[in-house]
Amino acid sequence: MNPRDEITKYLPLTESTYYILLTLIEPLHGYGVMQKVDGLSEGTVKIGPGTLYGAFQSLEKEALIIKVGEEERRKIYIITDKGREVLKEQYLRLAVMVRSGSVI
Amino acid sequence: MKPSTIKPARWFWPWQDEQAEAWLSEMSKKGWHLQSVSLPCIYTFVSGDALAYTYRLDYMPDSEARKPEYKQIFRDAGWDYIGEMSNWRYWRKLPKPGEKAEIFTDNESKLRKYKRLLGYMVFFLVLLTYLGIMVWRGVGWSSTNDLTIVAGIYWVGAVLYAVIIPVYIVVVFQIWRRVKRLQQTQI
Repeated sequence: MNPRDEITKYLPLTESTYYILLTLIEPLHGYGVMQKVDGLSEGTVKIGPGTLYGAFQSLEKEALIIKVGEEERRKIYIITDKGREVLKEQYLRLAVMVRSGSVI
Repeated sequence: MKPSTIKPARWFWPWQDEQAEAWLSEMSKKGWHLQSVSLPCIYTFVSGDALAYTYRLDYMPDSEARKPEYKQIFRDAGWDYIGEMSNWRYWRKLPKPGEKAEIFTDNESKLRKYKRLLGYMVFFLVLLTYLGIMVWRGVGWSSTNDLTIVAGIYWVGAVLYAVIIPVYIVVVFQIWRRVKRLQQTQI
């Protein structure tokens, strides 16, 4: 696989995954992610704990996020370089979608 | 007044998790709150004020090592852990006014829950079928060798498997249908 496909194979991200990755630009634990997504999405996207736990598991497995610490039983994650590339690619696609949709 | 407890027996098939959730919520509205779950399908309720709890079941065949993180995320989101019964984890939350409490907030993650369940049930079905074939061979082998008692034991096993395997086929089929339905909601 060429290096670009390594990034684009994750696209499109679900709304939840997009926001989770976006919040992990800074290190956060699960509770922080849930709260920040609520704020960033202006209340349009809610992340339930089952959805978040599943996302953490698969994002960590795919090395898009990495564990950087632990506070009591809360693991703290941050986005990786690969995760950032995926996010950036999704952002560019979304920007095109918004631009082309401006006729509405 | 000392709270009293009841343990009504109630059977739910693995594809009836939403019926179980609805039943538990109904019980809470009548003032009976789920306190614990244990095999085989024993639900212990404790009496209290009538409350509109939302119950949710997650199917999570996860390692013990990951459990603390899993539970903490749910607790931070306001969910109370009640217990676990054959990989089903029971959660409850008292929703704020106007809140729709959900543990899975998108279709993809909900779908993954049923895929986990389907994977496990298919695994059991394959295992049971393999064991069933072994027992059938045992019946043939012991009969041809005139081992009447051994053949009798094998026969009992064969009858048991002849009942259990079709049940598992139904379970797998129902869960598979559920997965298909969820996939169809995506346009």
